[in-house]
Amino acid sequence: MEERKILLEEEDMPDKWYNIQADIEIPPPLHPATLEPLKPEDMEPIFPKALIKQEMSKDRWIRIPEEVKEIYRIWRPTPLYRAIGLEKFLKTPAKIFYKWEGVSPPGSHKPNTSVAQAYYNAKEGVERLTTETGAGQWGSALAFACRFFGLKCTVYMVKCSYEQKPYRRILMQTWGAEVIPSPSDKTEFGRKVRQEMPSTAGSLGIAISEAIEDAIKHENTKYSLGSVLNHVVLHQTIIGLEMKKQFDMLDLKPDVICGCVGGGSNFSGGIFPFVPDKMKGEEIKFIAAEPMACPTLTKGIYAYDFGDTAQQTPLLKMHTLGHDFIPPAIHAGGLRYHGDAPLLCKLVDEGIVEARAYYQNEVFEAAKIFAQTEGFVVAPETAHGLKAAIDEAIRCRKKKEEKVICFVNSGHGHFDLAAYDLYNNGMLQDYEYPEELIREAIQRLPCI
Amino acid sequence: MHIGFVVNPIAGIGGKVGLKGSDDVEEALKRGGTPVAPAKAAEFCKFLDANVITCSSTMGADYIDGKIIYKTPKKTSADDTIKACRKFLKHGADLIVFVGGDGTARDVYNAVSKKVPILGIPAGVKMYSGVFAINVNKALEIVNAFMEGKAERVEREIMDIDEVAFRQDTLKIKLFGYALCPAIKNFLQNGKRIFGGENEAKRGIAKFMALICKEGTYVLGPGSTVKAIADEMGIEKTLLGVDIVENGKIIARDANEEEILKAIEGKRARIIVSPIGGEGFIFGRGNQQISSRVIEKVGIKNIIVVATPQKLMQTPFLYVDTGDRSLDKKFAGWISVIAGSGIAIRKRIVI
Ligand SMILES: Cc1ncc(COP(=O)(O)O)c(C=O)c1O
Repeated sequence: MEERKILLEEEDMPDKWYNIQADIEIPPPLHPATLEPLKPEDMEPIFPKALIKQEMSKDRWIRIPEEVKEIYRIWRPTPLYRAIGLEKFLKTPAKIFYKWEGVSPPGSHKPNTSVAQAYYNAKEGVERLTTETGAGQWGSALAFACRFFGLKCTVYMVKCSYEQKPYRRILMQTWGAEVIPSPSDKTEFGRKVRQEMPSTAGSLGIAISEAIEDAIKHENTKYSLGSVLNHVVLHQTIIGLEMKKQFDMLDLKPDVICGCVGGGSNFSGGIFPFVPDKMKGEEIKFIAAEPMACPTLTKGIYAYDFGDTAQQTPLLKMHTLGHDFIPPAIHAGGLRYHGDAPLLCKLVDEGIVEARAYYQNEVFEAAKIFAQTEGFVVAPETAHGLKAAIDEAIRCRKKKEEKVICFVNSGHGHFDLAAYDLYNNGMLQDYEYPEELIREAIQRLPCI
Repeated sequence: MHIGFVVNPIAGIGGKVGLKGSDDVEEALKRGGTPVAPAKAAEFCKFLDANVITCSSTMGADYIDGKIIYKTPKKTSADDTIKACRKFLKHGADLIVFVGGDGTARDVYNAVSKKVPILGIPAGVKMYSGVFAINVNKALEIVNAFMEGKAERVEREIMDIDEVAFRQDTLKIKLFGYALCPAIKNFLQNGKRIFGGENEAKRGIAKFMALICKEGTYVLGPGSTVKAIADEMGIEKTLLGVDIVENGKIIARDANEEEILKAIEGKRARIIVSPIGGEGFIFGRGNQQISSRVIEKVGIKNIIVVATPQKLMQTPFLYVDTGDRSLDKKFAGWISVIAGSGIAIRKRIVI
């Protein structure tokens, strides 16, 4: 009998995060005004000291505090599944695995970092955290974490998601968070955007600007980011570290690891613990999957850019479509971000990670196949990584290769059923990024 | 809530006997034609439960019990449709349902323009306009949704034969204007909530394309989406004609094929067009001035198609009919339609 899920005991949960900054170097973030490399104190208005230290740390291993582990144990260690049903359906000789992060209370990988962030903030006396959320996944993860450490939580939710996904809002409110559709009239920047674009669907970039402004302008309030930054990615490495142990239990090594990329945290968390192996010469393929509508890694340029629309954040060297690009309202709301984690971008730039972009319809087709063969209904974001895994498994069938493929199954899609409804009825549009015309348009913009 | 109901009793008579319309009724009858409209009208009325105002005998009362406010003459003409619709308006009709084809649609539109929404039950020989329901059942569904306040109002094209060209023995379909039309909201979420309003999307397209159009020569097709680009550039474009813009200035208005060819002679030009909603034609309906010769000269890769996500959602496939089959075939496959600022939607062109 083939084992269907590979489970770790609670005591086998890793007690350290892996910090890839010990093994790769990235260009430093720059101060938005001076364009000088950022100093730790520059970040103090928005982040607690412990997280700033992690952001810049070169230590390879960072201990997970006991208080954080205690909350992690609500759902961690998460299972590694063998996708037997999917393998049969695809008639592939490959073995397909997925690391199932949808078992957390908020339903995704996001609480791996929200719990850690809430903990460090609470420890330093912060009373309220602000943040943005796209699909609502990150917002609910932070709302959940704040509840457990006695913090207040304010979530700026991208307007189109606020309207499309009332259930995520209700979830956040149930955990006690205040949820505000963005752009809002609570911040100066939000008011400005609303004046210029009264019926805009909003974007992550705009919501980030609002949440940061709120944090800077209020006492004992700090800001929390759900992806992109080094410390966020650090916390997510628990995914890959557990995966490693689970594959060891099977005496297997993954040949391919796939995952979706919005800001890059779940995918980076999954692959980073395997990157040193690849740098030592092991053959392992990492595939980052993103939407055609917002193809940051496949079509963006690798350059310094702001993390938000209002240009308040430090400049990060990353693949970017430009901080003023507002992606269309695709259903994978969590993948609508113009940039990506600098650590991941560095690996893409060096060819260690490859990136692929997919259309909405083919992504939902993959998600439906998965639901019908494995049972779980995954988030539209997650389905991008799943699509990459399916493509790899089909390639294995054609080449008769028995590879081990694993994807990070970052979350469930129970709050995304309206999108499934549109897909089931043939109503989803295949958005894409008109690269050449955009280049032309940018050239014709008046120089500032 | 009042529904005006009008039937063009001879609609569809010319179809099966090889006439291009039903304008020549005598000839059609001689050839053994029978009108399509009565059967469609009867089928629709059998299941309609509404407060109806209509015309006497063959233009309405033969099929439905309703308040008769227009007396139908023995021999009906386009004029009767127009007069009847004007009366419907006077009596406070909230929606006008007509049975007919493109000619009837044009008559109804002439009478009501955008004052109330209109909906066609297809019974004509030509139905290029966007105001027709797919069939009688769909029409009933839409009317019921409209009465329950569950329909939205969308702008749809009124298309018909260009009579001047027709008399010169060429069949050209021309865009006459935009009517309001009821449409059922889609599933759990309607387009508006996902995308923001259609006007917002049009503005996004306009802002983006206006930047592109600053330099070079552009042949701008008919319709409100393309016109919005010119508006954004501060250029006065005709709504229904083909205009030409060069380096941000207009160099030809409502140009015909020869004028277009002359204007782009020896230049690297682009064409910007928008498909007809629902129908999906990007060439050959309403913009025949942009002929196969023009397209060939410009080159397929220099064609930019623009449309809002809302319009594309209601348009499953795109089509071309340039009159040159071998050219049409070169269009087959995917095309990236500009649908917002920095946003495109992939659509398939079916040949
Ligand atoms: C389920 C799920 N997966 C993936 C992502 C993308 O974020 P990241 O790339 O940081 O993992 C999101 C973001 O909201 C998400 O909700």
